[in-house]
Formats: sequence, structure tokens, C-alpha cells
Amino acid sequence: MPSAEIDVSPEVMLTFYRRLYPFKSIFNWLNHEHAPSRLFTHREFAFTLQGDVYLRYQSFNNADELKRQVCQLNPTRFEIGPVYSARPRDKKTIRAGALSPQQRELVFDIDMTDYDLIRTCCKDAGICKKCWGFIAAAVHVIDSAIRDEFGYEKLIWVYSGRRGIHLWISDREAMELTDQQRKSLVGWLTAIYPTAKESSKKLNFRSGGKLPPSLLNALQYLKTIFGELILSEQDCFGSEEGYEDLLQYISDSRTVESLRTKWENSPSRSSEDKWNDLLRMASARPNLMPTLEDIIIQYTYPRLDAEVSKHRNHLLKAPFCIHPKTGRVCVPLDVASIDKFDPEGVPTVGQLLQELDAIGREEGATISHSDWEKTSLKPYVDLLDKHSQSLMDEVRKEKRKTDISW
Amino acid sequence: MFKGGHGALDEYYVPQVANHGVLKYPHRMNLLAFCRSEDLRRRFVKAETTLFKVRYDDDMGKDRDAFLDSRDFNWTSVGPEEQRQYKTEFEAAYPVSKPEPDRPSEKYYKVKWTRVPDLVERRKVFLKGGWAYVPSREQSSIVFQEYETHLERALEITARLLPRLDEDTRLLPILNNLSQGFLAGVSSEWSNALGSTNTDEIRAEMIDDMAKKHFPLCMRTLHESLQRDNHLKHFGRLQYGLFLKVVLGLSVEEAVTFWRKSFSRITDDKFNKEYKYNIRHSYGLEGKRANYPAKSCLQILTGGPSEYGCPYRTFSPENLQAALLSSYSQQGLRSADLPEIMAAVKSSHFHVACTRVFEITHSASVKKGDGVGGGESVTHPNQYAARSIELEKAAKEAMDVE
Repeated sequence: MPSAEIDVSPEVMLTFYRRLYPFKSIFNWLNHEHAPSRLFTHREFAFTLQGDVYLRYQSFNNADELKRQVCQLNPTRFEIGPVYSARPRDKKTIRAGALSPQQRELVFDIDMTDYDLIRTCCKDAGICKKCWGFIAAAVHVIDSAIRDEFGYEKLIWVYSGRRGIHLWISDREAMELTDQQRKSLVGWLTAIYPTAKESSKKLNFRSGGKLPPSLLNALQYLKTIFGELILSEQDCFGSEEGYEDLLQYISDSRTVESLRTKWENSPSRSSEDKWNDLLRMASARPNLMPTLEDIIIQYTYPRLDAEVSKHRNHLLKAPFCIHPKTGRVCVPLDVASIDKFDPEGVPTVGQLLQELDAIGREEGATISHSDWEKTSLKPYVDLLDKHSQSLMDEVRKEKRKTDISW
Repeated sequence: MFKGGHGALDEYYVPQVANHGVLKYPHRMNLLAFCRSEDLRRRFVKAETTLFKVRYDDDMGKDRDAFLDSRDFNWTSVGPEEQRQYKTEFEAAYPVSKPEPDRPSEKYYKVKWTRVPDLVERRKVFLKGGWAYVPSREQSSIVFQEYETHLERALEITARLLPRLDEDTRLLPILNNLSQGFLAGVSSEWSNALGSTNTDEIRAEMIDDMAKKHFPLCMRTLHESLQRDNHLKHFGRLQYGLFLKVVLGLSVEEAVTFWRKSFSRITDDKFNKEYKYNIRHSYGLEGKRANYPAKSCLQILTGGPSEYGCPYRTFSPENLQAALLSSYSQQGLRSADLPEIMAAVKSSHFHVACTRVFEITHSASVKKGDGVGGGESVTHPNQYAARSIELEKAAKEAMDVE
């Protein structure tokens, strides 16, 4: 039973880093092989210390060095940046400009705040199982687009600890993308602008009246979840504000007027009823169909925090850090079970330490490096390890290929 | 220049593509001049690529074919089988405005998506498994991207080799001069022409006096509204600040003093927080550290809010006449001169009006038709003021000799 109060005091954090944080797994994932390579040694780490002091350009030779420094500084969280042309910690001693980002996982950040205008269940920092539906939908769309259209395979999704999710893509080719190419890729995946000011601005994602194939694919899937997520769970068009928002996407003023009159007169009509009203109208007027499709995309298509993905030097919180406000661990997630994921069921640091205590009492205290194996953190670490293994296999295959060619 | 020890360089300079007609790679000298910082490289690549695009689109036929043949662009034609497999996707991705049944089906080329980032960004291409299926009508996208990539690589390689040239004292000054003019966005004509003529440093308290004697009406107007209101809005500050920086060679310390004095109604704290940064920015000491040039007449006439535009254009005829008289009567402008000036204004020849005012107010040494020297008319506020200062100096020296 997770304790209600959130304890992320320095003592708790230190114990967590000492006994539970899977440094070795993080190392393998970033490094792609067992012997430390540039992918790890030239990698920037940034620490947020107690009292919001921010320490950038840290770098380490191996996992143990990283662990030692983390335990010494005891940060509230730390972030992972790009692989530079030199060791980031030498920044001050090398020629200015000689430190430039070379490689970096392609990363994405989806945050619930970008859905604040349409979600009805929670506000601000809150997140529940219902709003997770939006995130899950976004994950499915992005995941299949990246795999199918861009051909990348080494994807891992990580819960951000509160109300969002991160995606890290480690394919060799994705790591080497330039900022310009990242920007293009983000452009491809962006269909709607989430911020308040622009939401009324209709984005034209059609060309010649047709949806491009990538959005058609997304739409096929989004159609299947629209009913449950938008109509029944979120009840987006229940309130007057909600259905007015819907009506603004319809350009035909006669349709808008007749729907508005109908809905004003019977305020008890549910979102489903209202959507059915619209569908009935559309069956009589086929030129409304594209509008309906646009509405589905508008309400369910992923809303990306584009700035995160565009630049190689953007820092992103490392997996398995503790979110300081919730105490939850930023755990990797499996796409297959993303729909069933419950943010409130994620282990918190307090809960993990309690589990450790319980084990300690049973077995007599022997502190080992992989204490996480005995806690509920295990399935999540296993997930990352499995992912890292596939990265390592890839590198080994590459190496063997070059060996043969000699 | 690169014979001998620098053999490796030539491989990159003489590009794998021979130069065909107007479709050229830029001159080596340019590569040398613009390779030396990230910023320079970026701007140079952007400018050159734009030029290349214009030439490419312009240049039908032989040159282009020769260029395309000269290099392996490494694209694969999409075979009929794949063409059938993705038929619906192609139709959705590349809608045709008017379907023509007789039209031969379009050819497609397959390249890695990273080769056509512009098409990807606008979702104007069909992607599958990391491959972009580019229709032949978008083929130029691949070529442009290739050109850009090649140029970037050549610049980077040059940059790496450049330190070896550091000891050459003949070359570097030339390179510096070339690249600086480009960064400023204008030729070096007005960026430091006056740094040398003003040997005595201009101090903040001298500006008021200088304004009355030498400034064109646009800057006079800014100066006077600054004195009157103890304030200028952002664009006014920018325009006037850059003018002072360049024409008077006002140092940043003196500029801060000048603006601090002029903004007498605000607190030190507010000044430091809200204004000082912008002053330092315009001197290239903050932010992107660009050495901004002063605005020319053309920029003042065409851009920006009208209150800081060219007064000959924005003022009503009555206001303009009043302003001219109050500003320049001390230097010899009389009401009788006004009709001629107003006639030029009326026919929208604002620079002619401004030039005439210059001639009248400097009648001791300038005849009608001389303009700001050699019969030129005013094209830049700095040119007006610079010439005025120069004339005064010459007159003074002549007196000293006597």
C-alpha cells in the first residue's frame, strides 16, 4: 500500500540512489555496449540539486563513476543530454566552440498540460486514469508512425512521473539526425497546435482536400477510440462551452445554427447524442464528412511539445528518477499495455524503501548492488534491460559485419 | 594557394560535380572567408542555397541535365511492383488537381527521408520504413538538399584546415573584411567609415550640439522627441541608437550615459533592467552578438511604424514645413526655400527634398546640385551626417592654416 504522504527528503533520495537506482541498466542503454564508449563518456548529465541549483556539463567514464557522483551530490533528479565532440566536463579547458553536440537519442515529450483545453476530468497538475486515455492514444499514433514511416525500431517510452510521457529512440540513424532533420520530423508529426491562442486557428492538414497517408493511418486508429475517450469518458461536448468548442470547427453556418438550437433546448443530451446528431446531418450532406474527420483528429491527435525534440542539446529527465512532486519513479512502459497503465499505480520511492525494509527484516541486512530485484521496481528495470539488450545485439551485428568484410 | 602541403583540400574544393554553366559551387575564396564560425557558415549556406535554387529553377534544359548527370545522386527508381503496392498511398500523398487519363504515370524515386527534410516537414511526401518516395516533380528537393549538405561539408573541412593559414598575414585581413561585410548585412560602406575620421572621442553631452548642426531631419525629429518626452519607443531607440553608434562612433559606455541622461524620468533600476540590455545588444555585446548596421533611408522609408519613418514622407505638409523651419533656420533655411522642397516631397522624391535641405544648410561649401558630394543624393542618414561633419572639419582646418 503506497503511503499517502510523499517523502522525497534528501535521506530518502540518498537511500534510493545507493540501493535501488539501476545505474548499470542506464549505462547499458546509453552506451549500446559493455565497454564504455563515447556514447557514455562524452555524454552530458545535468543535476538538479536540493534547492534548485542546476549543475550542467557533468560527464563520467563509467556507471560506477556516475553512481559515486550521484550519491555524493544527491540531486533531486538528473537529466541526460547529447553526446558531445569532447568530454563535457572538460568544457572549461577546451577551446571555445570545440564542444558541440554530435549525437543524441531522438526524444519526444507529451504532456497533459497541452490537453487542458479539452480534458474535463482533471486540471493542471492532476492526472487520472481517464486523462491517461489521451496519452495512450498519442503513444499509439507516434509509436506506429515512427516505426512504420521512419523505420526506427529502438523505441522506449518512459512515464515522466506526473502527467506526461517521454519517448527515447536509440537507432543509430536516429541518434545521428541533425537539428534540421529533427525539426522536419517534428513537422511531419505535428497536425495541431495545442496552445490556447492557436486552438481556434484551424490547421490545414489536407492537401487538395485529401488527408495525406500518414494522417489517414492515424485517423483509422483514432476513430476507434474517439467514442470511448471523447464521448463517454471525457464527455467533451456535454457542457455548453464544450459543444460551442465543437461547433467552431464546422464551417457551414446553417448546420451550426440548427445544432445549436437543438442542443440549447435539451441540455441533457450527452456527448454521444450530440455526436450522433452531427453524424445524421453528415449522412445527408456528404461534404460534412471531412469536417468530422478533422474534428476527430483535432480532439485526439498527439499534442507534442515540439521544442524538446528539435534540438540535440535539449536535456531530458533520466528514466528511474523520482518526480519531486509525486514521489513516483519515472518508469519505462510497454506500449502493448499502455492502455491499461494507471499513473497512480506506479511505485513511489517511499513504497520501494518500505519494501526494502521488509526484506531486510526477513533476511538480515545484506546490501547488494541490485536490491531493485527484490522490489516492485524489477519489472520496469527488466523492460529497460531487454531494450538495451536489443541495442547491444545491433552493435554486435554491426561489428561482426565489418569483421567479415576484412 | 593550396598547392603542396594542402593536397587534401583540393579534393573538397574541386567538387565531385564539375561546374556547369551557371550551376556552380561558390568560389573558394568565399569558402575560406565564411567557414570560420557557426553563424557565418549558416548564413552563407542559406544565401548560397537560395541563389542555387533560383538558378536551378531558372535554368531549363542543358545546363541542368548536365549537372544532374555529373553526379550520382544515389536515388533508386521505384519499380512497377512497388508502384502498384503503394498506389493508393501515392494518390493520397500526391493529389493531382486535374486528373488526365492520358498522362503517363509519374516516376518515383526512393531516397532516405533525411535527404528531403523540406518535403517531410510539410508532409508532402510518402514515407515508408525510413524511405521517402519522391515524385519526379519534386526531384529538385533532393538536388537542393544535396547541394546544401555538400556545401556544409566543404565549409567544415575548410574550417578545420584554416588554423594552418593563421600565420599568413596577407590573407587573413582580406578574409576578415569579406566576412564582416556579410554579417552586417550591408557592404562595409557605412559600418566603420567614420571610425577613422573621428579621432576625438564623442562624449554623451556633445550629442545635443551635434544633432543641431549635422543631423538629417529624421534623426533631428527623434532627438527632439527624446529631449521633449524623456522617452522614445523601442524602434525609435533602435533607429537612433544605431545611427549614433555608427555615425559618431559613440562608444557603448557613452551610449549608456547618453540614454540614461535622456530617460531622466525613470529609476536607475528600471533603466538597468529594461533598457541597458538593448543598448548593449545593439553594440553586439549581448545575445547573438551581431554588429548591427544603422538603418538606411530605404529601410526607414519602407519598414517600421510610421512615427519613426522618414519625416518627408510621414509628416503632413504643414507639420513638415514647421519642422524644417524650426530645425534648420539657424543654418540658413528660409521660408523662401520651402516651395522647392515641398514640390519634391509632393512628387514623392523624398531623398531629393532631403538632399536639397542639406545643400541649403551647408551653402557655405556646397552648391546646388552638389548633393552630399559628387552630386549624390542622400541614401543613408549616416551619409548625411558624416558629410556634414566632414565639411565642418575641413572648414576648421582651412581656418587653422590661415
